[in-house]
Amino acid sequence: MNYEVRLLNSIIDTKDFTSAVNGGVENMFIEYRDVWNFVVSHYDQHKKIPSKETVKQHHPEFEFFATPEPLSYYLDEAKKESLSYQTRVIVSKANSILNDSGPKESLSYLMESTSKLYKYASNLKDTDLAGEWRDRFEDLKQRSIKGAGELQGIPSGIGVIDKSFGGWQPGDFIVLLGWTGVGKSFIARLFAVNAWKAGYRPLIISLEMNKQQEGQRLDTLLNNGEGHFTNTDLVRANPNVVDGYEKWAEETFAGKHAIHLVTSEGLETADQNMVQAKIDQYQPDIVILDYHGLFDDSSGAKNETEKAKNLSKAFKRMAVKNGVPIIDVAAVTMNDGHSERPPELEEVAWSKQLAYDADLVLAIHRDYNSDLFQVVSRKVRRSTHFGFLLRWNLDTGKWAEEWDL
Amino acid sequence: MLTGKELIEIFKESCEKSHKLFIPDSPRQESVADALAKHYDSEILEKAVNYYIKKNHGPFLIFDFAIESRTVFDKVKFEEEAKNRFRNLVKETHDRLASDEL
Repeated sequence: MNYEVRLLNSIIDTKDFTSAVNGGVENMFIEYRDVWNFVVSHYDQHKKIPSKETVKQHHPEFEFFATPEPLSYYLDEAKKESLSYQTRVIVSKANSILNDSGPKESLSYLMESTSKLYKYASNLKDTDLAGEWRDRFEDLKQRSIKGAGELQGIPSGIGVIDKSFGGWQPGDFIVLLGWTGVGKSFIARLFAVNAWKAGYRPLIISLEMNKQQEGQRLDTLLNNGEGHFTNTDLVRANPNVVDGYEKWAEETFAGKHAIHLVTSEGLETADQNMVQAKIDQYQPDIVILDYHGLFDDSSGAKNETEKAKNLSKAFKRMAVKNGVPIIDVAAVTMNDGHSERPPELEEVAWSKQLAYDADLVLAIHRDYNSDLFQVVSRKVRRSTHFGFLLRWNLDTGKWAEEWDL
Repeated sequence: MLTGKELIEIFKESCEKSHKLFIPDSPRQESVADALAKHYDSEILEKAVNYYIKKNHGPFLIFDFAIESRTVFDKVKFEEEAKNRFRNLVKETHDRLASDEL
């Protein structure tokens, strides 16, 4: 017997419309969608599920069976079968596209379709906060074992962020805002490097720089002004530092965990689906996206602002779904040249969406040719606002927190 | 407090520094400069003049600046306030860190 028939019978028997809808039945009906639509419209009009007799009157061909199990049983069964059916359809269509158009098109279709299906398969998690207080108690107990003052998330390496915000925690969506060319990407890489040094695996998706530039920048940051080489030495291939570099790199990287880097070289599209695929592939502890404006939007935005909003929403959901912090770099522009201060939240075209989605927005500024970075929080979800300065020699990589402006 | 005469000097100097042309406009500029100096806060007004000359190509008349003065003054005031807010927040954060209130 078709799973749709069993599920419809169970809904009519239990008369539990709310549980059915909350269980996601909307996406499960294909062959018997007309019967389900009838049930929905009857419920809308009369605030009750139609009786078997009424259904029979309107759909004489529909068969009735006994449903001895609870509705949740038929919902789970229907979900599994529906997902299996839709997966088969996707695989079959991907195979046709592979034969007709080639592997790139087929992969692109697979990524988009499976992402949609995954969204449907993983329902939003509903919770009864009053009933589940014990879970929170256990969580609090576990975390308290680490020590009340100890960092709960991945360390940023910046004292005030780690102390007040608790580092980068699973599901955090952090946005680094700044006018163009002030060093937002440097700060994002600093966070990646500090996470890596603490034993975490960063994934950097860089659409702005190539692999060589990224490598040089990360090496300089890891070198942290210790005198082995400067960024200029690496860019200009100074022969005097080659041996020293080899020794330093071996000591720094040999036997260590990965720093995953994805650059735009060879990428056809870089949208939400690609980011999710890379998270699935590398299972990172923290993700850096550089930068927001260069990503494509797979949900078909009509303009740049809509695209920025869609991506913001998608990245936040992705952070929560994957239980990983995502740091997103975003540039702010002004028509008549930018101001000499960190941008305000309202100066971003998609500020409202940003205010909803982000757990932390850091605005960054650096005066022309200055080595002093001004950093200020524009939105903080779990602490009070803060501001700090970083004195940073971008050539040697040496940086330090500073407090005198 | 700035006088109209001082404001004209600031305007001229700012044009010279930026290698932009200042067009004398006596006797009108004296009375316009007096009105500007009297109406606006001196500190912000001086910054507003420098901002106006930096952002535009010129040539410059004090009268042209006076026409746009409200917009330029408000913009510069907003920028100054934002910078001060940042300075204060950095100090506040530092004090909180030092007293371990975070």
